[in-house]
Amino acid sequence: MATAWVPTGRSERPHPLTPLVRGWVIFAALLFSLVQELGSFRGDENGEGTSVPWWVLGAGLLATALIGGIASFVTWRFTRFVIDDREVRIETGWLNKSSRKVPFERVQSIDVVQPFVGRLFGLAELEIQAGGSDSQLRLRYLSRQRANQLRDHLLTRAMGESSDALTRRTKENVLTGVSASDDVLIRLTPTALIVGFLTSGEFIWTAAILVISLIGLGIGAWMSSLGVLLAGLPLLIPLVVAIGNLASKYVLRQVNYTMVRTGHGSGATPAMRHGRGGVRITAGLTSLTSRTIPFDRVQGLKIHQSLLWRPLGLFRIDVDVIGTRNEEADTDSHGNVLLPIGTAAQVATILDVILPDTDLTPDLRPAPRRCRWLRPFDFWTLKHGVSPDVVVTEQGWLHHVRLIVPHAKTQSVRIRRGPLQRALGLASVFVDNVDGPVNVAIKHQDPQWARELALSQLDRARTARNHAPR
Amino acid sequence: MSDPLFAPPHGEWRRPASGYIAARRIATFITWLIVFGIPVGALTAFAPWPFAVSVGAVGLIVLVWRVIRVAALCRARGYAEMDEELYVTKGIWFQSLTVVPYGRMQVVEVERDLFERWFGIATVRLVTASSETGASIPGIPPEQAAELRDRLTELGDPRGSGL
Repeated sequence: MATAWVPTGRSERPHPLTPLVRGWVIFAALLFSLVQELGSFRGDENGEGTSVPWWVLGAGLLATALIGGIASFVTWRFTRFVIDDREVRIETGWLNKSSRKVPFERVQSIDVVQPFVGRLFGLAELEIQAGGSDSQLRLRYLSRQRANQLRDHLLTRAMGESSDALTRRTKENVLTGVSASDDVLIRLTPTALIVGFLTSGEFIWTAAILVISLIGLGIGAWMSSLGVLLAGLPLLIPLVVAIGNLASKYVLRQVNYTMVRTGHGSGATPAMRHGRGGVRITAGLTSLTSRTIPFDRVQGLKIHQSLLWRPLGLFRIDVDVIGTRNEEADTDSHGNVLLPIGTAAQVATILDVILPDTDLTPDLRPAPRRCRWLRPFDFWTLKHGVSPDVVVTEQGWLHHVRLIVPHAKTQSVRIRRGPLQRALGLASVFVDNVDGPVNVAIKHQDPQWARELALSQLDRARTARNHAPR
Repeated sequence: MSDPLFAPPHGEWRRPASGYIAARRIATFITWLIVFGIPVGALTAFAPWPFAVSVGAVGLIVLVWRVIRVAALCRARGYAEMDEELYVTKGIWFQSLTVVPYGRMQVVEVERDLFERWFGIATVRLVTASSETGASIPGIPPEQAAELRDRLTELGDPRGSGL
């Protein structure tokens, strides 16, 4: 049984093994790039004479890793952090000191990331997203238990999670990061992930382009010379890399995907529970990422399915959450993916938890038929609806997309009209929320309706904002 | 330009000051001069003369057209302060109306570029948590711009725009 942690206000250092782990991460990265370089050398036929003796490479590698390790040690030695009743503060630097702090009410989501080496040593990195492009705080590395303790404390403070829900948590499973007392909402099997990946639109399109190019090259080689094939093959490398990235994003990093509900039971009535607590998603094969998103911080949802997923009844959910990392920059991040693959029932479960007591199925109104001149291939799929709580849009048949944005998350409303729309008597309404995959565009509406929709959306947003629990 | 689709709920638009048109005219002139001047220069040096002349002619037409349109484009801009939201409009062919609730403004900036300084005007820019919002109010005299900024900042949600 872990007990709720009480802040002491004392500053502390990250775990002493931090330099070792950082040094190893640098070493592994160097080794990886070196192996890649050597691999490309070997392919070069006359590169034999210019190659460097292996021991020079080895010594260079060791020296670099050593310097990296020493630098990491210095960084560790001069890093301190304080967590008190109001904020997290982290102080770094030896010659140039810097101090960054995040007040609790700005906390958007919290990740506990364990890279592979970190898992061996039982260490984890705590990442606090606080909105804005550079307001991300990273504490690395802490012992796993400490990281979880701090996360729970921060969430308790930031979101008013009940602390009794925390105290009754039992020890977590090291593989999946889920403890016996957690309220598990969804678990995904490797089979589901792989089937979902192989039938996903992204994979099929990329693979199709690859196969077609290969066939084209084969025909070219057969018709003229083998040179065509040799010249063309390297051009396909980006496609193979893209498939690898997709597989890593949707399969490898999602292995053991488990979504649990945190901080429930902190209110007697649904109204009191509304906006309290959050979901925690844990996933990963070599590195384990555990991300907690408070319900309040979900700014919009995108539920989509490609053509092949429709007969299988599969969906993917992406979310807008402020401060989500750019996934290209960091391979351990889940990015905006909330549910990589799931059935309609699982989607319903998630919606019910994230947006409880919310009318998510307003009557959908199609766009006027005359917009077929502007959207000849999908004009009949453009639909939108407004319930007392959310805006919903739907569109697409090759790739069906449903967007949901709670009125309280409306940032601004726009009406736009181009010359062609003007000629056809149409206008578009945009309900802007924070940046991310969810961008509500109610396109090609009757002008009068567009105006009414935009102005009434402002009223709905105002009402929802004033009634938001705080 | 009084389309009910893009009109404020009540009252009239406040339009940019006249200095704005002059500032935009110079900026537009210089922009298109550079956009077409560089290729025309390169073509005179490296290609037969008909190429340079035809590109130059097209460039001249575009430049004159854009400079003529500046006045209308500037007059199509406007803003209106309502009780709860700020309304901003712009565009002639591509018309738009942007409405930003005061509570959602995170930052209100006053900016002045070189030409705006010459003609004694400033631009007030509104930043919300969405980069799509993109609302700015150009062509306001600096003192008025500072007042507007202070007023808007004061109206901003003290709870940090409710994110």
